[in-house]
Amino acid sequence: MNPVSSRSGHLGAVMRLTALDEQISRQQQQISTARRVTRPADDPVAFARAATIRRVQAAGDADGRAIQAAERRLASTDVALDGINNILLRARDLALQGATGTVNAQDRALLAREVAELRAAALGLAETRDADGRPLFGGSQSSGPAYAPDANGVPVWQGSGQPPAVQAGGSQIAAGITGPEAFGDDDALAERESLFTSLSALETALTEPDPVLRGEAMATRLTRLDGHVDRLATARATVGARGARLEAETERLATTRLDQSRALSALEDLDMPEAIARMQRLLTVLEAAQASFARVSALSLWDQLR
Amino acid sequence: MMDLLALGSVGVRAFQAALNITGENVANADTPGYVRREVQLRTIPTGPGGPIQKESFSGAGVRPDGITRSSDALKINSARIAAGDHARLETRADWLRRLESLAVNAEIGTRMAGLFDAGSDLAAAPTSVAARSLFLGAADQAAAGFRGHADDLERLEADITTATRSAAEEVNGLTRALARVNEELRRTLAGGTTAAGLLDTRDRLLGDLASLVRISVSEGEKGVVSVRLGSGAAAALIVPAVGNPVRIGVQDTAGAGAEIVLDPGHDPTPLRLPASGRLAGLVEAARAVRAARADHDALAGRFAAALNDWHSAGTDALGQPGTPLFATETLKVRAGLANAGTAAVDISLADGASLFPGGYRLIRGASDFTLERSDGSASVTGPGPLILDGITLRLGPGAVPGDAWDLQPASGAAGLSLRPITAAGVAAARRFTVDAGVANSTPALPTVFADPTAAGLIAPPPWTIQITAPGTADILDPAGTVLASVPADGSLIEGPGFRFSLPAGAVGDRFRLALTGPASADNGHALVLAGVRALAGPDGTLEAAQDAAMARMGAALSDTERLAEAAAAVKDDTQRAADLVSGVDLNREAAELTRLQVAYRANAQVIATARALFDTIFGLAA
Repeated sequence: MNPVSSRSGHLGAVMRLTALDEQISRQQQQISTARRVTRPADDPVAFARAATIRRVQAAGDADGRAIQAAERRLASTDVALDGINNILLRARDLALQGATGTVNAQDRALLAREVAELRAAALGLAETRDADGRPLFGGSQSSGPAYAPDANGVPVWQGSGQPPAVQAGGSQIAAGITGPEAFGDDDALAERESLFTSLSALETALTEPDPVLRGEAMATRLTRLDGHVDRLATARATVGARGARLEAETERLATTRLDQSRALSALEDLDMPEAIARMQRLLTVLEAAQASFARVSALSLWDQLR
Repeated sequence: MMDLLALGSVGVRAFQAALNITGENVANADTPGYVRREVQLRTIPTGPGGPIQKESFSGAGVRPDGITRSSDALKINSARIAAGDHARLETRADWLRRLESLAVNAEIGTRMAGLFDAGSDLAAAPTSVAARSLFLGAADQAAAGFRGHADDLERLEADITTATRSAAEEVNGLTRALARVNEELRRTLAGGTTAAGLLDTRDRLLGDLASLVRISVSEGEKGVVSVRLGSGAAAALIVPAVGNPVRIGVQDTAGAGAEIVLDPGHDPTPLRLPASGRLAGLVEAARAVRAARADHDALAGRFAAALNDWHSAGTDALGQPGTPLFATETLKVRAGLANAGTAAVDISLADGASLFPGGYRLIRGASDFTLERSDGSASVTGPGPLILDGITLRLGPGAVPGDAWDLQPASGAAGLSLRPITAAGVAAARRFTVDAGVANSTPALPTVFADPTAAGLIAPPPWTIQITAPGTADILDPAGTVLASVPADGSLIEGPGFRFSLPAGAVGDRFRLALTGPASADNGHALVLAGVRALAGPDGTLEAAQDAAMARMGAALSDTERLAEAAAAVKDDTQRAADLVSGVDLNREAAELTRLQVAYRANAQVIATARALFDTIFGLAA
């Protein structure tokens, strides 16, 4: 150790004080940011790990937003399907009424008028749009109606493709259901008809004057309507199941986010009590060093020369 | 009596000299590089006592026999080496810290993640103009991040080169000064104050030189030194004991960046610098920055290629195939070194301009500007703006005839920019829309992917595909005409510009296949972006590669900082050891002063006594 009365001794003492100052400043920075790792060199592995976690968190947030939008769309779909289901049940009631022989032609005409109204209402519900203005039942169609009448006035599905999907975990979930899946489609060869065609046919059947033909037609209509009720129930179950999957995914994202925050905190956060104790110790050391430096450098043989 | 007077007077003179030197020590107690001096006192020989000369009883007294500097060459040498080692690591750490802070602030990883997250938001609302604009904004941010960081790195490398040049100049200045000191030392009498001062200067110069480059010093007569760069017999001699020093310089080499050479003016010889000194630190820092630039360019290239491929494979809101998202080339202007004018050159590149790989030259003629390809194969002349190969040059005032500019195409991170794409031009939808009949036996759908090389002889979609027999399907146009009969067993079928395969369904299953039209709400292609994000290249996903580059940078810096800390400790220790010998300790000087003062007074007393003796004798005579 060099004597304090020499230049190098003095410089050495000052340097030690400066080094202490630096340590205190670094400690203070860590305490004020409450973070242990503020730049890659502090801990390269932890920094890279933290960057990855932060990125996964941000991606999870984006996924969460997408899932919320998809949930809203599924909820709207369910509301529309519920409305159509009620219409269908009412139409079935009317069909049962019309099938009994006690109803006269005038009443049947009224029933037929109501069925026509119900069909219009069902078509209206089938045109429901989501928050972004896309038809709910149009598949990947973003504009225009989901159904439009053809030359014979039969509503034909105008959509195409699949409903927009959402990434949930490892798989993609369709956020909705297409019109044909929910309401069926028309195919004369395969003897399939859509809900709207069935309602038109019911209207026609109710106004059929010949009782024998009417009886046969009404029986067919009831079977068809039952088929549509079943299909609609399946569609609602599908939509409900998709919603449930998204809900589960939202929950998983929340849990994951919590885990990630915990991991991030373990990687980057400062052990506050330890840091403060260390800071206190450093301050004490600095004070002692300053005091002793002042005392020692005040000692000089020159004061004794007279 | 005369002897006594003479003894007293030489004694007083000798101690006067010793006191002077002590005073000098005290005065220079705080002078860096000052080495503590001491006067060597010698007895004056009395002369030969021969047969005719009477043997003298008293001596002839004392005389100062020159000044010695209390220095230890070995300790000073190790202090020098340790200081050089520390300077190298400290310099490297300093530049690496700047590199790291640039990399952290560029936030490349965050910007790339921002683009991918904007892609997720786009998938959630593919028809929303806001989501599309935000996606383009994020893409622009990412490109700007890459570009800005590339510029930062280029500036950093240029800064290091400048620092290297000035360090090399410092070395040359020091070697020149050392050669002059050598000359002075040869002329100066050893043991004098002048010589001691020169030796102090020499040691200070050597210390400064050693903090720049590792040197080995051999000391000759009178303290004249010869200095070699590095150690060993093969090391280059930069300061000979006699004669002029050899200069060093910095030379730009293609590909390898700046390089240190010996004797740049006459016979440039590349130097392998020993790993010590500030210059070595600068060379290492330059290497690290070059590596970081290469990493950054590679990542930018990968990023642009991945995103461009992805975006080109989708369909935008107008029903058109997607276009590449990023342009990857730009032009860099370098004004000629001899330009006398101050004209500014403004460049704009047309979208999709194909630049001439050899670059361009812009020359100011007597009144007009000429822009030409570097091989002269095409050129335009005029007062400006000049248009060539999709480049538009606007020229500011202040050009002087003869001024020239060099324009070089730059790719990599510096050339990355978002192409002019409107919100509707974002390709969020898949190229093909596929759906299945309601009554199908299987929920499976045909798979389709674009392939420009495919040239199946079928009229283009929309198609209806119907399975007519197990493993066979008919392709029908909208009018119901059968276009072709194809296998439906999952095998690949060639279509016009795409390939597709059909699932093996039951007879009667139907599918529809169409090119996605305008205003599709399909988000399938936006969802594919998540796959691009997760696609692992040779060093992981795009973002993982960036993280790894950051971690490498951080590890290099923290290593260097640790080494620098250790080197600082060694430097302090060796410096202390050297200072313990050569430094001035004021307390010791105080004690010395007291001792010499007493001796001086005693010698004065001898003179007084001699005088008293004279007086006694004179008294007798009176």
